[in-house]
Amino acid sequence: MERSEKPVILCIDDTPEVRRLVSRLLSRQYRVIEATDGLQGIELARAQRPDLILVDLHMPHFSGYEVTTRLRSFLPDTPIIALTADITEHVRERALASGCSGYLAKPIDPDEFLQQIAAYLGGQREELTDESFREAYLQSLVARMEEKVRALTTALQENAELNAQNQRLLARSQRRAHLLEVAARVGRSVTSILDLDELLVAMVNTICDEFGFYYAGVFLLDDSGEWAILRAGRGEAGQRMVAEGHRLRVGGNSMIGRALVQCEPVLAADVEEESVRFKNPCLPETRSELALPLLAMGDVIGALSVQSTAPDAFDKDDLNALRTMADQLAIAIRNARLHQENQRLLMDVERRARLLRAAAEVGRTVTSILNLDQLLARTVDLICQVYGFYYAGVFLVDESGEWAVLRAGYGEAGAQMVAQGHRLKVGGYSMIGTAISQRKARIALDVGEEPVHFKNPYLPLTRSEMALPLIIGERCIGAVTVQSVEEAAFTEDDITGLQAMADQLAVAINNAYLVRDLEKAHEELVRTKTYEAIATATGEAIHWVGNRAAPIPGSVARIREDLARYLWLVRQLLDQALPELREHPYARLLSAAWDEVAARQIVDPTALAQEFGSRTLKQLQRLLSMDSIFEDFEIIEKSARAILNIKEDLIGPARKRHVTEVYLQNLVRESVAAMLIPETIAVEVRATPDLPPVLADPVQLDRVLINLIKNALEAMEDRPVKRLTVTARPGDEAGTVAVDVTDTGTGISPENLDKIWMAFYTTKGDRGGTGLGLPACAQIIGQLGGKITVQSELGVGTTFTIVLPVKPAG
Amino acid sequence: MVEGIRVLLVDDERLVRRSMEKSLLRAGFDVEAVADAQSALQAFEAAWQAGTPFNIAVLDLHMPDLSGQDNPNAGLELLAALLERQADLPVVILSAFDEVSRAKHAVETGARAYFVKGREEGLIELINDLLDLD
Repeated sequence: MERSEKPVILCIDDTPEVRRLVSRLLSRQYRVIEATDGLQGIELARAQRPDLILVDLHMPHFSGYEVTTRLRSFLPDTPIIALTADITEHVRERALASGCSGYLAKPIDPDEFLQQIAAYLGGQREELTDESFREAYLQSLVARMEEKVRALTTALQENAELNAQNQRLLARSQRRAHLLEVAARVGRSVTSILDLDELLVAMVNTICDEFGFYYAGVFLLDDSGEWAILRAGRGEAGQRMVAEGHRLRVGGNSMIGRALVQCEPVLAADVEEESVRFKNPCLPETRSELALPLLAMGDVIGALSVQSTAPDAFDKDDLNALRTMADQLAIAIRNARLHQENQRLLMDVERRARLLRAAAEVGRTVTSILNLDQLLARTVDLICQVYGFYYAGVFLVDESGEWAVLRAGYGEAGAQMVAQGHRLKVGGYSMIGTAISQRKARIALDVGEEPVHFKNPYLPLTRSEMALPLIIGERCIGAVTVQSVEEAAFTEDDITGLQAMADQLAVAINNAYLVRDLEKAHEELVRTKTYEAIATATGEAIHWVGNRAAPIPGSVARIREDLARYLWLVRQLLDQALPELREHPYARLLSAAWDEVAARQIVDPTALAQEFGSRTLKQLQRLLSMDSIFEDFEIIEKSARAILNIKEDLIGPARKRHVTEVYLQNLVRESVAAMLIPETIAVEVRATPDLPPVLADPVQLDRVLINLIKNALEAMEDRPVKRLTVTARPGDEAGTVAVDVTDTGTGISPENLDKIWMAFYTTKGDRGGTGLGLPACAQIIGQLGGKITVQSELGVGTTFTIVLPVKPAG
Repeated sequence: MVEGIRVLLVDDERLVRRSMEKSLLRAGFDVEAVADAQSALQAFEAAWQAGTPFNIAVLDLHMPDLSGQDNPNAGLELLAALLERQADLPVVILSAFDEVSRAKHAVETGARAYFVKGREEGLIELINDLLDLD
């Protein structure tokens, strides 16, 4: 509110003291706004629409006159008062001519000032009386305009020049920055490449792409240090030159040559004028060229050639950037080479480790295989897989010593050759043949040039081959052939490793032979022993049968005799009998019987008459009795039975076995039950349920059990306490089951404990077939992989224990 | 003349012993049959005491010996014991088929003969031979 009340006064003056003074003088009554130059003043006037404007006439650039004229154009009624210290003639007039409404001289009189302002605000105006000033003013305006335009034009021109200069400078620094950036980028992108060839190709391509050069090429010094060999070149031309092995002599007549010697860049701004330069026919368009040495850690490793189709293409900035880049590239090359070297070393170490591991594995594997065919097959597989060869084969010398027969060969080709009985003559026209006859390794690094080489149609890809003899002591038992599809495929390490392996193989083969011989001898032995055992058993059996059969003929003879005697007695009676009795059919039958016996002359009637004549009954009874006959029958029967038993027992172990799962807990129950043991004997069967089964012939096992039980029963024959215990239980050893047969018999003395196993051993009298039983039982159980043992105490009893292995799982 | 010839028969197998005994008896011999060495020695001494000594002893090899143990050489032991008591006692060693070598050995140590058990008439003939009976 107050603002709108107070009039606004604009003071335009470039002198700060004046403005301050005006403001101080007027601000109590008015709002004062200030402008420091004409332009600002016009702006403020336009914006604020002051009630009065004070204008300094003499201001730089835009004078007060001009400002006034301008103000007038949009503030026609606003009082504009000129302020000036200028007292020259007609300043007032000129001010009024330019459009001022009034005129105030500097220095400002503080006392009058306020009044004057108020007056002007009140409407006071000064008039220009002389119009000629107005014209003059206009003219001067125009003149000033012209001047100004001239000045501006000049300034503009200057500006344009400056601008152009700036642009150039800018472009240049941009370029420099770009170069550095490119250099850095080149450096960054290529220095991460560790593969040398990749690195060099990337280098030349990147340089040309980023810098826009026509050609770039990298030379690296050879080992001698005399030649720089082009390793990468841009474009077709470059590639062609690399392929041709383009090279330049160090210190020779080329820029590269010179740069290498000087270790400084060599620049040819215009190649036409360069004297020391190699004109490369592949690069005809070159106009300027730069050769930069590549220095890594102070050593020259090569040089970089950069060529442009424009002359003077390389300025200082280019040079610097390229130099920086060259240094980085040199380091990158060095790193790549080091990397290569490291890779090689690493591969070497790895290879060596692999070979060692392989040799160890081969050694370990082959020496543990005793089966010859398996051994050889495994060996050739291992050699090819571990060393990566194309083919390996093992020849063994046959019995005649003339031929080396292929016993194992890698892959299908090998299998076919083995199947066809491929063989080579010892000492003949082949590497294997000569290796064996000379007992020395033969190595052909290029089979094309090997004089003694058998070209195998099955192995067409072979380029290098080794034949290693297999030597045991003084003998050469064969040879190993190793073949590769590459020439010179065998390094020193390979040869050493494979020879060592061949030596081990020879030992392993020898072992396999020995084992084979041993097995054959063992088989022979077993066969012989079996024959022996059979012979022994048969012999024993024959004797035993003989012994058993011995009493039979005697008993038979006696019975025959006794029968004859009875009939003789009958006849004697009948001779003295009444005819009616004699005619009785019974009598006639008996008589006829005697006639038959007499005809065979079994007895001598005269002797009988003597023997039997006039004897008492008692005496007669002693000579002829049914008891005696019964006894003789018994003798025959028991002898015969014993012989029948031996038959069963004898062929028991060899009898064709029908092997199945047998559950002992069931077998003992059944066998004991089937024996119908008399009740005078206490029988106890203890069977652990769920025993695992054994593999056996149940009939055989039953026989063994019966044998043992019979032994037990007989041992208890005269004992006061008769108790038989049969137990089926898990064995003491894991994976076995056991059966015990325990009796309360007389027991076996310690001295006899071993002898009971002897065939035909018998402790007491006639026991039927039991003398044979135990050895046969032992043999049967032995064949099943088990054993029988015995424990006994004299006067207490005996336990026989059968132990059998459990049927294996799966 | 067989009558009155006393035979001491020693064999532990009942069937064999009985059969041989009966054959000898029928052949006219006076037979005393025992089953082990101890009994044999006792019988021999008793007969000696009674004034009716044995004319001949027929001994098996494999039987319980003088200490009661079953022994394949019991017969040899008994042979020695008998010869100690009567040095000129004819003794026949009975042999099973598989004991012939030992039986032969017995002959070297004092037995008059050995006989492989089988044909009982053979034994009778042998005894007749040894004792020079008809």
